[in-house]
Amino acid sequence: MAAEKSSIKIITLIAADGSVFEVEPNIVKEMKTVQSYIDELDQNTVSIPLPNVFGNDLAMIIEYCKKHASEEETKEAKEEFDFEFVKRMKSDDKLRLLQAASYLNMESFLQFMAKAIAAEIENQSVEFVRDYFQIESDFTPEEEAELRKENEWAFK
Amino acid sequence: MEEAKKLKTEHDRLSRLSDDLLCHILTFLPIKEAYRTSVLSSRWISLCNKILDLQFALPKSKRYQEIEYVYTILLRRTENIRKLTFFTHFGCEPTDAQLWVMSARKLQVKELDLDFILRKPIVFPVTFFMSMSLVVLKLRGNIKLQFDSSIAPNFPSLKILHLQLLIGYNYSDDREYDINNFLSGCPHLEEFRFYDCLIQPINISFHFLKRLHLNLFNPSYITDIGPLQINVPSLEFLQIADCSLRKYEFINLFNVDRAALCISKYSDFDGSYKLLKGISNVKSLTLRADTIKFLSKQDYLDDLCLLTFHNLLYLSVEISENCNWNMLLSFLQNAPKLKNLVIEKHFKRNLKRKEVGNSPWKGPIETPTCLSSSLKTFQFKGIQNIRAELDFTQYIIENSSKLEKVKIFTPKSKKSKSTSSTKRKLMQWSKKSSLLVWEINLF
Repeated sequence: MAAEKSSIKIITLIAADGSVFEVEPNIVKEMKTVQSYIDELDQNTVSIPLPNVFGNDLAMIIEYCKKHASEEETKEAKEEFDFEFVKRMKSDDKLRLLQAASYLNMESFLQFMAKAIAAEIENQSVEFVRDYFQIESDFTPEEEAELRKENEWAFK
Repeated sequence: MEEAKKLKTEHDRLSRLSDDLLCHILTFLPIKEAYRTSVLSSRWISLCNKILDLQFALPKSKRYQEIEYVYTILLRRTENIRKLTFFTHFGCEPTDAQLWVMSARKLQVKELDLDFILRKPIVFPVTFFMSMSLVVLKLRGNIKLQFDSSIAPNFPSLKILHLQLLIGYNYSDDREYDINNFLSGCPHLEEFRFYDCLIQPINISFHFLKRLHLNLFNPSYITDIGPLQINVPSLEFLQIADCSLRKYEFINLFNVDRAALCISKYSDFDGSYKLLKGISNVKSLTLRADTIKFLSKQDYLDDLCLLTFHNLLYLSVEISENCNWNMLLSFLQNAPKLKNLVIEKHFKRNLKRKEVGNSPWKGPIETPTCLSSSLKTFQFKGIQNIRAELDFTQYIIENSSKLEKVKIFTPKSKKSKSTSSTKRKLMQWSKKSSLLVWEINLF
């Protein structure tokens, strides 16, 4: 069984929009959803449909995985990459990638995205955060005032 | 129209972010900020009471009002907590800490990380020492582990234990606790980090332990200190810093993969030698300056020749100003598969470099096997224009046929030109390996 597993050379990932990505097995190690799929099969080539992830997002995730799976890259280079990676993303991208990470069951990437999102809403007003997550308040002004009073300590 | 539809789907998509994911984001906010989100909408009211990991960092304060919210949060909580962290130096009273720790127990915390330095030591209630849920327990600061032998601590799920209790803080004899009793209650421990200066004999015997960090000190006025016995057949990583007078005995270290030693036990060469012999299967070994100094003592050199590290791939040694280069060479001679060698020298900047004290370099009769067959990288941090250091480096360059990379860090010098002459000297040697790439850094 172990021998058969290691014989897989290339894994084909098919995104929701039909775009196709060919990657090496070590790239998908972090994607537990994909990994469990591979482990069940014992053939040389595998193609896996990922109906919940769009091509653009998958491309970014693969880029991240490639960088982090590389043994040649130093820790500093990886940190530098992470910094730039987040910098070029819009808020929507982050929220989408968070969902993708959750679907693919990628623990450290999920943490990374959650942290990046938290950094965006940190030190921001309640209104900003509502806008960020596109939340419509279902409170009357009185109810909201009441809640704010109840949680006064949190606003200090 | 199309645009509006797109916005609509966008909106739906975002509102579909699950509670779990939103909670995950809240974990990375300071705790007060996370609780501010409860006014966003009705969906968010209860969300912050479900955050899995809570972290309280309390600034130094005397006012109860400033820590009242910790009680509020813990009292509102009904869902179990995964990880609870407290950090405070003089930010609360010992009784507060006790109450919080008890609610942690009620909320079946899996990871508890406490760093308390308070006016008086905290004494935990007896029930604290029995927990089915705890997987990780980290205790730092002036926490008093007080329980007598009638209590049997019971942590059946505990895998990681760190005890870094404050030393020298209100030190008195009653600070001693029965560590062996504590440890016997943790049968499934995989990682143990222990900083202490207890005087009783210590017995660390764990079947599943994989990582062990020991930092042992000596209470200065006591010479009668119990031995340390360690029996760890599954151990993979060992780190020891030891400046106590304690004798020790290690058995079953054959699985150790990585080790870092900082030992200066001039009185117990035998124990240290046995330790080195015990870990002779290591792949990665780091030796701190004190250890090297201690092993360099001329009388011991011959004994070291008997040690062979068959699997050693990575060796990092920290040297002080006077290094015994021949000792280092005997290490190389006994590490036939070595791939990476790192030397780090500690020196005082702006002090005149010294030639004295360095034992002169003598080329060996036989070239170490690792040089001709396996050494790929060599790094020397802190090299100066000193004869023995240059000679040693030259020897490595001229005799390593597989060497691919040499990385040098040499200190910048304001007035003298010794930096550039160091560099010039380094580059002029004939290299044995055609693959060799230099990297020279100034710092």
